[in-house]
Amino acid sequence: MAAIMVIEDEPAISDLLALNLKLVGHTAFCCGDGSEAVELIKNINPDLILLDIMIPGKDGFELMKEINPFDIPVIFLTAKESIDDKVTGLRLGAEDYIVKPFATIEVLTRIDTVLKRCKKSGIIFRFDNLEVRLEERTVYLNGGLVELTTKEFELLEVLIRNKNIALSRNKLLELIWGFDYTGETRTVDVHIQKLRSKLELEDKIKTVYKVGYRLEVHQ
Amino acid sequence: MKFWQKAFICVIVCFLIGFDITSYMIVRKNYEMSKANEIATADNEHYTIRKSLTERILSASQYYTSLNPDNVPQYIEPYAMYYQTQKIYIALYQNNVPVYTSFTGDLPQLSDMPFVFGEKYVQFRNMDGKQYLLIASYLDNLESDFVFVYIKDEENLVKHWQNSANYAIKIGAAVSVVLSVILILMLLGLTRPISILNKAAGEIAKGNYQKRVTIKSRDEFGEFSRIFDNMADNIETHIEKLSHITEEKQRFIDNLSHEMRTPVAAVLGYGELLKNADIGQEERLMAIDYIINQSLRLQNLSAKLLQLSSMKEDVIKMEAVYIGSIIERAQNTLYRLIKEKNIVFEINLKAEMVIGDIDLLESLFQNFFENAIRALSQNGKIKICSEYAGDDIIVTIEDNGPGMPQSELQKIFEPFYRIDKARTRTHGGAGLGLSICRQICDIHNAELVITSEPEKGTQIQINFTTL
Repeated sequence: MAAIMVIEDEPAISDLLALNLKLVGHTAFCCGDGSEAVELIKNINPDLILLDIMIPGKDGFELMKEINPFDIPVIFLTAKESIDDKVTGLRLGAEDYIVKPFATIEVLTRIDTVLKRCKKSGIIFRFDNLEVRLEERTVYLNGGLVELTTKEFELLEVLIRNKNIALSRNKLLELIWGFDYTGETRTVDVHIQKLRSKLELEDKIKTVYKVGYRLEVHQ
Repeated sequence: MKFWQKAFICVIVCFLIGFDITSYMIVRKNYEMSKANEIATADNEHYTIRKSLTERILSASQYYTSLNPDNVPQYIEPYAMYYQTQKIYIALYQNNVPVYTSFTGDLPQLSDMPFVFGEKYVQFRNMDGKQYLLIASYLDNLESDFVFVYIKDEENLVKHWQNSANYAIKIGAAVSVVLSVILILMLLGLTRPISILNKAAGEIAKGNYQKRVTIKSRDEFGEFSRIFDNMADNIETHIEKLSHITEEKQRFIDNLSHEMRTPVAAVLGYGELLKNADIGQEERLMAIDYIINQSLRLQNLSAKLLQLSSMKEDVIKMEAVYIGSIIERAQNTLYRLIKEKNIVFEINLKAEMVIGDIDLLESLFQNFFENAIRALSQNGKIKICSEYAGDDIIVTIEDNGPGMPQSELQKIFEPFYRIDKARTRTHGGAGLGLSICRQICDIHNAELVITSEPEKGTQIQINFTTL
């Protein structure tokens, strides 16, 4: 869906991010040295950059100044948690600031939000006989329009954006119905059932034992 | 109230008391003298009048056998008339009854004036609110009992006294004003150092530790200002040292949090990935490897941190230790690494023993050897020498590895600093080795000097001072 560059000197972290990004359909490029980053950015022209601050070569803040002219959204992903650093990062023009350790779903969600805001997220999602137009909020199955309720569509969008990753019922409730929703996790099950039957996704939306649901798409 | 104000009030009060007492004494003395003078003059006049009056009465009585009391006033009147212009009044009593008086007020009773024949009665007396000088005596040589009283109006004397007193008060006031001005100027000048010191102390209290006073005088203020400046110097250096320590601590904490968060984030992320994601066998293995690897890193970090903090508290056992046995123990611990790279040790010990804790010294040598071995390529060489330098013992550890540039050399003692990040981390190095080494050297009062030249190698000198 989007090309994302990970500038991070810890291979453990950059591999982890790259793996997760690939799972949900993004393309990931890793770079572990600040002094080489700008050259790579020029060659790849990514849609978004995940930037660590404490990296060899050039630190993240310095790098940020050099990235600014390219007009590429940047999210800081760092162990520096002080307010000063956050303010510096955001002042320099970063879209967001995530402190390590992070939850993967949080990083993916924030990436989506930033991509959406910067109009860089993919708007049409296709697999097999299904086409989802995220911008128009319409779904076509075998070329014919399928009517979905708002909540059903939102659930489908979250599953698509986090495809191949299992999401717990509680997480889904939180993401779609909001924190203050007092309903039960049964609501999620009902909506998943409806999505499965309406869009012929019985074998794609998997129930993961003791975890939740996962949309499995292998490209 | 400020000091100069207090001093001012004290001086002014002392001056006024002194001045007033002196001027009162002078005026008083003057008055006494005038009074004595006045009495002498009056006594003279009294004598003259009495004398001639007596003669007049005596001569008159020669014509008559006895003195006609009715005639007495006429003898005396000319005198009375004459002296009245000078505000002198006279009175005559015969047998205790007044027979003549030129005095307009109430005459005093004779019984109030106790005196005997041949004596004089002299007194200042207040009559009808005015001051008078009274002189009374018996007329001599007369058969009859005549008393002559001389009364002089002394208003002038009183006025003179009052004028003098007023004058003294006015002078006092004028002098006080002049003195006040001079005194205030002098006190302000004298107490200027106090206000300078005051201001400086206030500035320092506010946090401006660079403030100094430098009062160049030889009195107590000059001395105090020198002491004050010394104190400020000390405070400044202390504060600088403290803020330096705080900065260092903050940097340590920043680095530590980075060092801890990264493996935690990795373990957490891969754990989540394994639980939630639909991934292949190969990726699954990679995730598990990372989890194990990063957990080891955390374990290593906590062990090193524990060592660093426990060294600060432990009571260290100081004893004579063979340098050779320290080297041997360190080599044994690193046996596998040494064998892997086939490292050659060249040992030349002129000094054999140092004073210290064997476990800590082993840890010190082990850290240095480990760093050297990691830097060295296959078949590298480590040279160890020890020698006496006066009372000190110098141990040198030298390798023929790639060395490092000057810019790196300055940073190597910083906690968590690694020259080659990627490589050390795969060994699980925490970046605390040299911090621990420096700590151990500090405990042993040993100086640690590291020199290095790119392409030639690194030299570590440990100077065990016999303190």
